[in-house]
Amino acid sequence: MAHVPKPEPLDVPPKAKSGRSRVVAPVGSCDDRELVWRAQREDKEAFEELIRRHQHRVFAVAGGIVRRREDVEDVAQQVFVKAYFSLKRFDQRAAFSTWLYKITVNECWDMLRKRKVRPLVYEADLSEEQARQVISSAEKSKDEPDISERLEARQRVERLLDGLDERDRLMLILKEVEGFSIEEIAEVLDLNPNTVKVRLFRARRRVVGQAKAQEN
Amino acid sequence: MWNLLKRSKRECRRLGEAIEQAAAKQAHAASVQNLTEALAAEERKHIETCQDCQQAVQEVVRAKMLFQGAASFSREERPWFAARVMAAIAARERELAERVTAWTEFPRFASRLAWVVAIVLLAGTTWFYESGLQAPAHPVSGMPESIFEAPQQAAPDDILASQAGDRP
Repeated sequence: MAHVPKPEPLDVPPKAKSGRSRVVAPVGSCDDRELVWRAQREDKEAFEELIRRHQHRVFAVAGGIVRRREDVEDVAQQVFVKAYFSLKRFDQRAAFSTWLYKITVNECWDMLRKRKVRPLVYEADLSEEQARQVISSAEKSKDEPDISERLEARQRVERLLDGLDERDRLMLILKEVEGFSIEEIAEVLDLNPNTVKVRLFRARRRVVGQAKAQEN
Repeated sequence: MWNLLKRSKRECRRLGEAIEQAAAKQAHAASVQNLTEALAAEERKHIETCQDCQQAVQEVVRAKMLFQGAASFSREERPWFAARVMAAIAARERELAERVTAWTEFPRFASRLAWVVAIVLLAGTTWFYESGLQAPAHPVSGMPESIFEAPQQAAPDDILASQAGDRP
């Protein structure tokens, strides 16, 4: 039988079990467990560090489900606000990232449920401010293709994925665009890694077939 | 025969995982050759003989090409985002604190409020009682008006006359 490690009690900080007085380390050098422990005691700096560490992944997951850029930003903000106010109830049995992904996925489905119909809005509908942000972030990575080309490629991908089931679509985006591993996708979608592999394989086959059909 | 098929399937599955890993390592796998270079000689040999695996490799490469260069949400830099979230949290906390203070202020004024309510109640009931005493409970004179006509009483002389008439 596999040994299941017992979660540490909340009152004990992750690295201070000896009872000696503990020096507060800078947030940059702390691991997630310690940052969560500190954030649970209303250390805002620690929570800000957690945001900085996990925002990219939260954006990736939300972007895979919601698509509209402004909605993605709103969802991401809502996710972190929700996480902050329910952090005291988080007992650290699971990894912080897993917990955060679950909030993200639920928040995205909630938003889509409220809207019912998801309008397909592509990057051409960006506000001036958002376009400036995208361009400024793109300018930093000169080795990558031009931003307009990348946005166009994303639109093309989104159109190709339109016929897929929501979960399969998210899986492909996370794997092929955002660079998640199979294990990470399984964590986000709360699935077995083998299930992810099989579904990914089928989804990929379908998309490739669709692309071939479009070319012909 | 069955064993041979089973073995082949197991090999295909293993190869599938190896291809996935190779594809994940090579961000820009432009061709089947690029992708299979990373595989072991044995695996490459299997691909040559197995049609399913050949198709799987081709699909991985094709999918990579389709998705190549698509704008990724996770790679964008958002230095302003953490500050924006913290501002939202601070605003929410202020809002919650205001709601809480409204209720914590209540006990401070509770005794005064109780006095005011008691005085208003006393004054109100007194006025009500006084106004009840001044107004007459029943009208002093005159008959109460009715919508029905009262039966008219017969005069005593009529009764005597009728009794006299009955006698022989």
